[in-house]
Amino acid sequence: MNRVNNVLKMHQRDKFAWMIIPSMILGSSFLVNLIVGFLSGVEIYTGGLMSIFIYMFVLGIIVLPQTFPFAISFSIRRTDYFLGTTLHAVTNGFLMAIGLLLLSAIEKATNFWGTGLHFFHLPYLTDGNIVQQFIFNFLTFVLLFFWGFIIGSVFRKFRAVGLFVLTLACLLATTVLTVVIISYDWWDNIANWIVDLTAFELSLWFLPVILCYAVISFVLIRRSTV
Amino acid sequence: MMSSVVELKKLTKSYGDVTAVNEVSFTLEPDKIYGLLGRNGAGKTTIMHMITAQLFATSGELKVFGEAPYENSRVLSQVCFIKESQKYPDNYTVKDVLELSSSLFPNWDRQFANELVVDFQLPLKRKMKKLSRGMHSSVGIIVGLASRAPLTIFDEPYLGLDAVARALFYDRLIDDYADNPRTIVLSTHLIDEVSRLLEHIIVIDGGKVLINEDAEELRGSAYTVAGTATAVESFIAGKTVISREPFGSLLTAGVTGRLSEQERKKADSLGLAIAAISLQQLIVQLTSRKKDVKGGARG
Repeated sequence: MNRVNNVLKMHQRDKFAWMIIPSMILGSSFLVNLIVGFLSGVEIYTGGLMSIFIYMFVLGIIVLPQTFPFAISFSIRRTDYFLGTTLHAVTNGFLMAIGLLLLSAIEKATNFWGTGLHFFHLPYLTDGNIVQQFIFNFLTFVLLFFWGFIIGSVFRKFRAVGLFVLTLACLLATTVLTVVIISYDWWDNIANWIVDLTAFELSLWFLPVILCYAVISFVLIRRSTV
Repeated sequence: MMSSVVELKKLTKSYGDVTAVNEVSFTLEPDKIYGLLGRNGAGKTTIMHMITAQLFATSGELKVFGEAPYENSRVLSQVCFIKESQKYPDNYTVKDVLELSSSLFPNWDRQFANELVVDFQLPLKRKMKKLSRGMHSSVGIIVGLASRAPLTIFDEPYLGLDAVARALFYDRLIDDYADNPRTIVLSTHLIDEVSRLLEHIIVIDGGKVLINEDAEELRGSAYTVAGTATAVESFIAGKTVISREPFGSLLTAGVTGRLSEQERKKADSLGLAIAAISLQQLIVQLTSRKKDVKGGARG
């Protein structure tokens, strides 16, 4: 546990990547929307909240090239690196999910910042109860982090060639899937199913995907070299 | 008590059809300073990466502190590997690196680290990526020294460091080694600079062990003879000559082997000057010979 703790310490020291940059991204997006909302006086529904989720994806990609060679050279085991990094990302996702809930509550309480700006409190996302909203935020953060992380792991293990092959494989798989869906006329069913899903239900579907991503990145990291 | 710190048996690393390390076997004993020498691309760094489980061997056996090092925290926590091209997280400051090292290395000496920071005049709050090349190297050196790891490996640790800073490194290393003996491996091209530190020398050439010998033995194992060409030629006849440097009618030849009393008298009578060969010269001669042979064959 002490060794995993060292990996946590390693990430915690990088406050810039884990706290300052995401706050700046979300803050500036919010500020721009607030000014626009204030000047225009119209009720605005914005997707500015996406920025923080996208950043989590980017963080997932860059965390490996940033810290893996350093950690391995400084006598950290690969397993401990994976466990510590996962724990740190999940904890961060947890705190950020709570933070978004708080901001959403503040937004509602201040009557949408007095300007009708819907930045944190958005329809669909806030349909469920507070626990469901939290779980959606949390699982989305974790999913996006591991999505980035698996891309980083493939690059670490197989370099640019691996990433290229993976991209081709994904494109091919999507194409085949689309062809199958069209030829069997499944579009309507799929569309109906997705439309009926609540944000909370959707986020539960993230779980198996997160698990897959985590297991694959773990296997790749265990075999990665510096 | 452990007999050896590192044990390599026929360790091989190949990339496709290129063999970077070819059946290398040697052992490192506790509390000794080793020099791992050789030319660029000889396979030194690859060997050190395998010892620290950063690269995986293709075949062969490797034991560090009696165990396989891969994912082995008992082994890894006792090893500190400092390399020239070490990467640090972009947002890390010097202080971040040192603070984290104090949790990673069980024997970390905080006071010693602080003294070294002063010695090397490092700005603690500066980000690693903003450091000059020399300062960047100093951080690695400080981590390597203050970690006091039972197996400490320095791979070309002083890129960009000036002669004063390098001398400081050697002095601190030898002082601290006297109080806290441990196994130290130095890999470097500046052989003459470190030769006084080294107790045992392993020379890697073309992925193989060329020399694995006590430093004192090695120093006494060759000498140079200088004098007029004819006198030198008559003296070196039948001996193993490793170098020949003609200069006008004079000749300086490097010869391996020990000089007997009789030979010394003979050299005196011929008016020849006998000198000890420096470690660097010796290794340069030994590792460049192969190339000469090839060149000759081509010509």
